[in-house]
Amino acid sequence: MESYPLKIVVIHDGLIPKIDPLLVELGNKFGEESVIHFENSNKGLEYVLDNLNQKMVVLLDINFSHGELSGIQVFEDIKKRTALVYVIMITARSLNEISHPDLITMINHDAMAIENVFNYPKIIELVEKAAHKMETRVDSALEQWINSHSEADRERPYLTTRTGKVYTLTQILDEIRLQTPYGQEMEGNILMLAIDLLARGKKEIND
Amino acid sequence: MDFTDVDTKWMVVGTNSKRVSLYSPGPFNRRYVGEKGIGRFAVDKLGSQLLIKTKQQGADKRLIVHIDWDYYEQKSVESTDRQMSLFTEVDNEYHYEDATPTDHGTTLEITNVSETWSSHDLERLYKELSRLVSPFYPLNPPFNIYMNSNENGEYKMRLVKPDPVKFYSHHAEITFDLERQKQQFLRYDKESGKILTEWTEIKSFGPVKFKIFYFDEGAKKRYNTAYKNDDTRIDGVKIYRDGVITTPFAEYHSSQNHKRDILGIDKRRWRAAFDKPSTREIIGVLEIKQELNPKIVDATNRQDFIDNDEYRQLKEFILEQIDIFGDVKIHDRDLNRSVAEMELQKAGQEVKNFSNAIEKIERELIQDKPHLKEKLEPLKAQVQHLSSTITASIKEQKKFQKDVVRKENIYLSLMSLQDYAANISHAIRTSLGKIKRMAEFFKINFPNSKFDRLFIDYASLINEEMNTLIKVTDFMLSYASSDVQFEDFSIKEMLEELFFNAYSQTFRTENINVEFEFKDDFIINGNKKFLQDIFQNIISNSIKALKQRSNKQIKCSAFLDDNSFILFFSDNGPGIVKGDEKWIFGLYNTRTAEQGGSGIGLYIVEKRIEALKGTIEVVENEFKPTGATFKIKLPFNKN
Amino acid sequence: MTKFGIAFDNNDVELGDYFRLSKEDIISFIAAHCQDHNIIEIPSNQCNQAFIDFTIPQINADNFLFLAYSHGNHDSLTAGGAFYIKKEVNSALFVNSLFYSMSCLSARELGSDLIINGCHAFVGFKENANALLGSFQALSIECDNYAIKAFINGAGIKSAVEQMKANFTGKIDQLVLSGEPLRAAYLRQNRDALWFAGVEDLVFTSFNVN
Repeated sequence: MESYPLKIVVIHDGLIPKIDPLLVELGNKFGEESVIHFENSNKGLEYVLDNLNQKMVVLLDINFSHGELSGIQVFEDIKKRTALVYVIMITARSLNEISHPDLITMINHDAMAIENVFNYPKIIELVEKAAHKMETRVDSALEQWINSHSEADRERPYLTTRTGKVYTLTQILDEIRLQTPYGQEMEGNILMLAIDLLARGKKEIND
Repeated sequence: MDFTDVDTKWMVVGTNSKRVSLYSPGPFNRRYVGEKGIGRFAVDKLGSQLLIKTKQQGADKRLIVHIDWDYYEQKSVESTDRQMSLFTEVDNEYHYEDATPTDHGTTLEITNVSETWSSHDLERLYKELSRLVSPFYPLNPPFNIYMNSNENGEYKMRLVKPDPVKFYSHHAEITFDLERQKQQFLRYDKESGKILTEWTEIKSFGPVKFKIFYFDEGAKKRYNTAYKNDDTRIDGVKIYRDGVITTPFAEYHSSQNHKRDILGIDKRRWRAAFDKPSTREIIGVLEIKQELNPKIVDATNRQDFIDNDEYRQLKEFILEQIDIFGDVKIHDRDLNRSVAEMELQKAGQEVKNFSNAIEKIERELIQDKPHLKEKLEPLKAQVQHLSSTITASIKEQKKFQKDVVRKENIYLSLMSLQDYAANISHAIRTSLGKIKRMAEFFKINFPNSKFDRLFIDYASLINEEMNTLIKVTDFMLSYASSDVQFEDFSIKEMLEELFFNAYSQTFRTENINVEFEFKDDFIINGNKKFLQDIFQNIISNSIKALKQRSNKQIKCSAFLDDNSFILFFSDNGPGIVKGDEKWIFGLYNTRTAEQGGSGIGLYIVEKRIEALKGTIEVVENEFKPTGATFKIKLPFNKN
Repeated sequence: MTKFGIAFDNNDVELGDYFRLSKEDIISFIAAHCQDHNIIEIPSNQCNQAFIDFTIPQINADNFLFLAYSHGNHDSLTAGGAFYIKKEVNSALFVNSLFYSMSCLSARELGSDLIINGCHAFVGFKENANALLGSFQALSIECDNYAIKAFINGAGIKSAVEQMKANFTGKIDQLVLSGEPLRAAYLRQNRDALWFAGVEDLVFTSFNVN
């Protein structure tokens, strides 16, 4: 899985750089190279938006300093672009201190969870859940299948649409991850095929 | 001048004739000035035709030289192959006229003027010419200048006379004693409120005479009335050499604002030293001599003197003398205030006496004529009222002894304290979060040799975080104990208290030189401690930053504009690293860890200032080459 | 004598070749399996309303088959960006026909409109349909023409359509087995977009007219 490892993006300014127990544990579980830590919310958002074709789980602090985007804003900005990034919100306050409007935003945009920063084992658990969910998603399955092809094959023209646009396998995966209309359609198609095969009892083919 | 003079001196650039002999031939014995020898050629700017009519005393003929500048220009355009080096290479017309032997002098007749000379221009010329010669140390034999215009009736052979100085409020004069080799200087005596002269050794720049006239507010008013608001005549200090004005002061400026302040008198005021006198309050005449003050040399560009040690010391000396009048100014102001106060006290006393008298009358009369009691009542009431008014006024006077009292509100309310508290509590929680995670990591993973390094790091980090927590908690507790009381207080007094009382011992011990300038004071209604803590933090930060410095400086200057209170705070420590300007306000960010900085101070300062809806930022440092300057702005709540 | 009208947009930028090859595939099948036939070929520059309005009335007095290989809309067939057959415009001309169109979406409104106006039966797609190109093009064309070939071979129209669906399914499984899930997904989309309306037991022999 060289090209698309899972990335854990931690955007939080209240952690001990490099050796915070949260970062250490995440590194242990997912590999140190998989964990990226940003203290500045603007920079964190930039990274996420630039790398949407990767599988990412984002741990996001709700509050940041003056002059930076608030965690809620970062959250909204990510969710506007893709549903495929799982965002876990972290707060230093008790959960019932979060403002009403903020809560509504998070619910509406499918925040995966909201957890307290004091409870790092729980946070690790949530990240593991997210990673697991991600593995069973269409795009991950597709990614696995694509990676079973040679590099050359992945870059060869693979499908043509009715409008004549040509896509390689890699591009198709990108379209799905980026949630373009074509990507969404293709994702839907794949799911329908899977259902069709299952319904006809052909599941052993898809082993 | 005779012909040779015209031919070999007047017409020649940079003539060294002056260096050969110091004085012109008798009986005039004029000291040659204008060492560079080119000034006269500027006359070509005035008009294209110049007639020099000159005659020495005793000669029976007057020499007339006709110079046509247009011709010169034409010639120089024509001869492109080689440069014309001497004006004398061009043949000028000249001839002699009969004249009375006793006549002497030189006339410059300029015709074909390039621009119209209005009466305003002539007035200007008159004023400038009047400054040419020292008003107090005139030349003997006299050097008279006459202006003659063919068009303007006011100037028919009019003698140019320097103005006598009138209407000043104070003046002083110092001189020197060559025999005893002593120089006078001024000193201000606080007790008597008088300006005294004392003696010292002659300075490096040589002995000087100096006359200073100071115009206080009243004097300026009288002056303006007399001279119809032409205050270009109160124009600071001028330096004369051997009775003639030195060229840096010979430039004309129509507006006071553009005048070159060579001595730097007004520059100090821009740096908020507002009690020092400005060039618009002083007329000063300083006399030097080429012989006695050889080190004071005109610069070639005519704009200044050559910047050597002697000149710098002369400048310093001049400023010191002028500053005496600053002391006078302050003293008078205090005097006026206390006079006003005294008057009030007197009035209060008189009212009391009056009140007693009425009571006495009342008692005496009441038996015989009880119906008069009614009449007395309103009188008594009035007196009572008057008395309490005066008492209140005296109290107010004492409280706010300023020229102008300004009262403003800043955005300090219970709400902002709550915001501030919320911000701080976030910091606490962040700290606690770190500690808990580290402790939990221990609990889950200990023992595990793989994490040995981490365990050690965590142990010391937990300790540090605890220390930070203690400090932050202290900040919070300080508000629990003191009442969140809002009172009227003077910002200036609060700052003065800090600088000259609370921290004075520390500044002395640390050998820190402190400058504090705050022109306009204002009163606010707020929590004094909240504001004090802000400045205490900043001062303490600076003290830390200055630890390794010699020649430590701290400067605080403040002023008000319409909408806010602005304060600059500077030290000459190592300064803020470029790029750190915002970073230093973050919690736990500190570059002064070795000096005991915890990274909390500026965080707290910023949070407090934010609670006041204000801003704090790092701006270009005042002190060079290194230093830090903070700019704090607190907006007024105009509602 | 069986009359055919076959429209094919051979000049289309993206699928011109595909349309042409589809037409050729069916024409060679007709030649091999139908003795007496007359085919009116309608290439791109005749795929316009004027030509349709002029030509179709000449053959619609009797039963005829109309096959279309072009782009389409929910209410029309298009070529070069303009319609040549459109609901409520000239759909009534297709009275007495079997209308077989492999264009996207047309089944939605054009299909039912044709039936209302006397068309015997309509076979088409009610959603977007895909064409596989390159080395899978032949397979794709085969899938497209499956029903009409079955019909010419004697199957009732409805049964022919069912056979076509079954063929799709078989091809889907084949593709999946040979490691082509995405192409299989495309065919699955086509299969499930297939739509039939009209006389279910319509047979080819009823189109043999004099």
